[in-house]
Amino acid sequence: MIASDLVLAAARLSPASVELARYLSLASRISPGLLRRFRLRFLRHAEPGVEAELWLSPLVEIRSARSILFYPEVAAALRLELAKEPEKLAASRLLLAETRHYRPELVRLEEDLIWLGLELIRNPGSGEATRKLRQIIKAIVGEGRRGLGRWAISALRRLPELDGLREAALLQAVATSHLADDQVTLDPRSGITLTASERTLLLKRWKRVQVGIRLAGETLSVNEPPRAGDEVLEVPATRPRRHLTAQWKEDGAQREASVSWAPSGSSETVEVAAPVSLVTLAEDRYEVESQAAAVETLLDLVRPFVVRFEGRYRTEGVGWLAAGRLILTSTCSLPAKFRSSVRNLVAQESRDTVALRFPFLDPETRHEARAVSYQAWPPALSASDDDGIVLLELVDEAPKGAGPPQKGEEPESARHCVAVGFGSGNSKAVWERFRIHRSQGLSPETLALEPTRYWQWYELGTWRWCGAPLVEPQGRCVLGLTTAVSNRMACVPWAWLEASFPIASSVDEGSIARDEKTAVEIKEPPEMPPAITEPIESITIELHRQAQGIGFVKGTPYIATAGQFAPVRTFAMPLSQRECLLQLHRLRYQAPADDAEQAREILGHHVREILGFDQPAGPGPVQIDLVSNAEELWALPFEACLGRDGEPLFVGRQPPVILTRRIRYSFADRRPSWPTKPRVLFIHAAPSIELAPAVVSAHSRALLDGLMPWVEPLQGRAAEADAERVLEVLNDPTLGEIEAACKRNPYTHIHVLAHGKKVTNPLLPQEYWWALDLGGGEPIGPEELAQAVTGGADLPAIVTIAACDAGSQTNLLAPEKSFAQELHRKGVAVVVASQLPLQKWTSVVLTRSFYAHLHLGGDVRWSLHAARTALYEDPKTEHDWLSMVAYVQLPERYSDLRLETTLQAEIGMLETASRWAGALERIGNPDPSLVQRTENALQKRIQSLQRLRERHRTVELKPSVQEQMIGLLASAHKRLAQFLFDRGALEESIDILRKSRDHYRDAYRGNFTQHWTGVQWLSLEAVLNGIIERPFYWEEFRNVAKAELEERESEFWACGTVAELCLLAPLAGKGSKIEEGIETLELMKKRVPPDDPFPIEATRRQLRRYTKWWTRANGFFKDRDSDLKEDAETLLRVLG
Amino acid sequence: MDIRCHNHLGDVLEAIRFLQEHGLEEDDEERRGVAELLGFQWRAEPRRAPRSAPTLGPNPDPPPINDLDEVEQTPAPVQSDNDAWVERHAATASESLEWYSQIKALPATSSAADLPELPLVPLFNPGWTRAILFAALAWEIHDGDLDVDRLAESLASGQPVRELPRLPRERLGQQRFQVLVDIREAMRPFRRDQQEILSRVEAFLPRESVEFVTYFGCPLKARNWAVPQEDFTYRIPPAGTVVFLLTDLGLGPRVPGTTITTPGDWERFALRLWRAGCSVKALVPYASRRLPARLRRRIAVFPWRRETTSGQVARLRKRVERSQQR
Repeated sequence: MIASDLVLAAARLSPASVELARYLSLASRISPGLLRRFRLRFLRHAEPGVEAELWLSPLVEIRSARSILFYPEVAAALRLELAKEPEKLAASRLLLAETRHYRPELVRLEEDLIWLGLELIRNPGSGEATRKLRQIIKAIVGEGRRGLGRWAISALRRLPELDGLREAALLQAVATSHLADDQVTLDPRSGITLTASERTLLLKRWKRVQVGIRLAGETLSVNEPPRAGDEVLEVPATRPRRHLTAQWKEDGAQREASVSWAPSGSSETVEVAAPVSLVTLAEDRYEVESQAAAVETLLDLVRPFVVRFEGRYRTEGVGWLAAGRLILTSTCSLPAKFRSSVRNLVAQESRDTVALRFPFLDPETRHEARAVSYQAWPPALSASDDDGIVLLELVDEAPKGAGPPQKGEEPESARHCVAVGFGSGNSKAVWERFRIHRSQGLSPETLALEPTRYWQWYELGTWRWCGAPLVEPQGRCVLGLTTAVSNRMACVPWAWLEASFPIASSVDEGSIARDEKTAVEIKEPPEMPPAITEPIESITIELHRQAQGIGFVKGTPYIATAGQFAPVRTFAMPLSQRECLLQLHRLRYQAPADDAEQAREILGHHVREILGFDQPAGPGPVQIDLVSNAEELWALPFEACLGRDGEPLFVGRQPPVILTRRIRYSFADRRPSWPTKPRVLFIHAAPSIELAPAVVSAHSRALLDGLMPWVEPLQGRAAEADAERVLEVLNDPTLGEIEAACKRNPYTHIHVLAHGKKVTNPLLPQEYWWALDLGGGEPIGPEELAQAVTGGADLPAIVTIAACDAGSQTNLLAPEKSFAQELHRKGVAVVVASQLPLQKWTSVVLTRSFYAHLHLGGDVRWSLHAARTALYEDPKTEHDWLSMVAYVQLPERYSDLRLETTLQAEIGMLETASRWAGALERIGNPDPSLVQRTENALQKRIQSLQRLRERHRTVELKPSVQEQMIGLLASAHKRLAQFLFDRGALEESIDILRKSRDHYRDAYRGNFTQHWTGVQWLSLEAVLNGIIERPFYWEEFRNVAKAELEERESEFWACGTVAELCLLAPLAGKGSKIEEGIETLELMKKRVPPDDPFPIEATRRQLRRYTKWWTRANGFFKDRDSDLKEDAETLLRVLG
Repeated sequence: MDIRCHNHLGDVLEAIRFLQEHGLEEDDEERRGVAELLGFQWRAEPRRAPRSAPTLGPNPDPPPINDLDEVEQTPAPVQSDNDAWVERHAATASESLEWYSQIKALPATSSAADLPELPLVPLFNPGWTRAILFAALAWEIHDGDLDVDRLAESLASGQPVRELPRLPRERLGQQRFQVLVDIREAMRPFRRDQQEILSRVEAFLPRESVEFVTYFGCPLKARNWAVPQEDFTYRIPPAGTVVFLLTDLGLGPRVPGTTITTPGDWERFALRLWRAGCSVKALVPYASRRLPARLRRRIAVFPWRRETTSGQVARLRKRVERSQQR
């Protein structure tokens, strides 16, 4: 029966359903929800039963629990009919687009292709379909996306409109070849013959098998699988035969031979003359040469070198280069998980550069780690006879001949020194001393060596070193240290030095401060101060200069407005330019302290007069939102304003008064929402004598402390923290690197630690501005930085700059404004900087206090107030509390947004705590202190979320947020109950489990499609009450899960659901169904991919709860004679 | 303090080069000595080697050097007569396909599991649902205010007043409810509507007075097609129970392979319940005019659609109640 006949037949049965089908023909999968919307939109007066008539219509080819699909030909015919009425077509497409975000991306992609196919019929010249198909091909071939391939095979069958396209045929062939292992024919459908390039593309990601190559004398043979001693290469796993083409030169002529063999067999021997090129069907080319001949040339190629990698994993290494193969012997600053992988890299050398491939790393890492510089020893300076053996020694005192400490050298504890000396005979030696300290990196087990003195004796010139210290679990320090000197070849490719002191006793003393420990721990998040939730009243004060002009002119009239109803006020500038700059100069730590105090008071009085505000009127906290069109006013330290009582107005008051600045009105609001989950970029200058590594570490620590509730466990590593997900560090980056990082990742917060450097215009010495000096390259100007950090699609919401004068606006001549203003102008909502020199200690206090509560979803204005107050209260920071300026432009509805973001933040933190609990559950014998910390964190987060929800019960939440929150509360309660049970608190555990049950029930009622939550609810109801009171739900869940299993052969999670329901069957009055449960688990074992142990392990874990936790002996299944322990054990035996 | 050094291939080569440069390298034995000194096993000279060069193992990579134990446990190179040394070069043919290098791959797609389902647009107007359900399930009880009109009428007609007439009030009363949910395939598009009604009923009826039963087709002849080995036995509820059906009363399309349910079956079902003293009400997503009039007298059929109002439902219910009283 052809499609039109089928449509006619269906129309005779139910014309309305066919009419509805026509409108729905642009959709790929039709869910009941979509059906309902289309009926109500296009057939409003038809009875609801039309939906059922279409659901069971003969037009439907595939019908599952969740959706229906029409026969492809029928859908195409219906689309053509619909296309005859452009208005209806447009309306149908519009409605489909409105509901688009509720469908999986691949379904949306299919709908796009449906539309493009229709366009192709209407306008055959359109190339959009071709482009889309090519994108899909590239994703399958280039990225090996098997899921996309699977989708493509079924989708193309449903898109007859694309049949004529060459790319459709190629996609079909590519997808089939990538999925069907070695059983597929190379020829695509439609009789289109592939070109050589297309064939190569087809084979690019083909499954490959390893074969062994053997060259014995002049005979070459291939073995599959490789035998001992064979060289191994990979060929496409074609059937019925594998194939290689051998090419070589003999007597000046090019020769070629074909080598074939059956799978799991060996080829005939081929007579060749080495070197031989072997080419696979995928055009992979291998060069085979004689080992003996290669060794001859290898001796000349071995060269030591220093290499530096940049990218996400920055490292330096010292190693050997031999025959195009790089053997990296030592690295530093590289996460432990990759350390062993980069020791053996393949290099392709051309003149001065070397390109490295990472054969053992995953694609993502390969992309991120790249070698950018390479320094080989000049061939002319090879080892001389005098060069001797290198000494590597751990000393407990400074080496002899070190001389007195030089300027800039920090005092250090000799116990933490490592001295390395390598002598070149008796008369030449170089010593180098390192101090062990915690590195500022995020890897928990990284220590770093910091060179403290450089000696240059005799003619020894520049030198390079690289160390990779490791901490052993027993607390011993193992130092892998490689050292090289560039003008005298003296290279230790590999040497281990084991320190004999335990780390714990060493690093906590002397120069190593306790708070510099970088081991990431789950800490209980800091309590949010109660006041932080109070609403803040915002009063805008605007200052306007009417006259044209620039700079401070004493007596110039200004207009001031404040709030909504206060009368307009005028004031005259009380300071001249000279007076103003003089007072500011007295605050720059170059004058006596008394002078600074006096200047602070003078300026405090003047700015009070200008602001016209000295005391809040209401009982609550107040934000002074300061706006001005007069450029010169931004140079004034309004933050120093004194109150009516002569004390500073913006610190330490109750109720608090918070001053923020705002530019009038060049603000580009590019972040309409407020971020909930933080991702922080920390940019810092290279550690040096001026910027001690301890300061960098303290900033890193402060940022990390604030982010603790967001630090998740490392995937695949039991209970290790993965801090790099939330905090990334750029050490001495170039502008390009900052820009690239911001484009690559949507950072929510950026923190900069650098030196402020005054840059003067060489043509106009009066004109200067402040730039950031990161150490390595050119200073970065305000506009440049603003451009770099705002170049990505998502702007950071908050940027803090810990650098001298980053917020200074004192030079009115310079066209470039301060960092604070330039960033704010570009759309960064909150910028915090210093308008005066910033002391190092101040920068640490500022960072610590500002970020302490920021990521808990609090109001950013409270964080500003907390930071200024902390600076004010710390005696070491002197008057830096008034240096801090904050440019703030909060989004519209910030108060409303804040509730949502606080809630989202709470949900996110609870999710993180739950992940820790999950990670601990997966490992056998976790550290008890970690368990305790996780339990506390879980408990705290649950309480906090519930408190917040209670406080704002009247606020209507988005359904998705509501669902997420309830689901999360349910699982978190269950995990908490397990923790309590594990430590013997049975009663308490059962109480918590009841809460978990109630949350699961609410989650299911909130979204009936989430049958998984429903099953959890039933399971807990069964174990707590000993009965399932609503067998209807039991049946419904089982039907849905079984339908899913029938619908998709790749589905395996539903097996676990069915098995658990079978286990619970007696409690739903259904009799024993354990046999069915066993069958379902057997099916699960078949369906779960062998390389993914997680589904089986998760099911096993759930069943184990019935044997160890949810038993009668532990107080469950009350009023019943037995529990489900035996049946659960039976099921567990199936899983092995 | 303990200093340990570990060597690899590079050290062997470096040492041999040192020997060559200083004229100390004599023969294979010399090199064997050097190699063994550095912890390597020397192996037989390859057959094609033109001169006495050290032979590499089949794998030119050095042993892993990050783990001391691992180095110590690395087995000695396999003795082999294989003289091949293979280097790989990148494939180039695919790059010659011009569009392939120019086009961007389709961005990665996210997991379908993260997506919420389309929010339900219920069959009833959501704001009216509670009132509709009340109108459908309520029972008229004469316990309201004094019915003055009737009292005056009876007094005027000179009849003795044996009982004070009271005005009727609609209440849910003390009766029991049995909610029957038809989950056959023809009701699949309305599954979420059924769940919505269930949760509403659960919310405003006392939990102990409601029983939920699920079935396929007509309860009296239902077979559970999803679990064919199971029989479904419907038990008639006690007298006074209100049986509330969420079904299509057989009006929906037939699902191949399942038992046909006719209006006659439903009529028999309603009759049995009527005899048992139960009343039957149904929400049906089809026009009730398609049902036989006899069936409509036995079952209060309420249209399950957007336009339905509580007043309409109350009128329908009363009409059926009156016809049943007659």
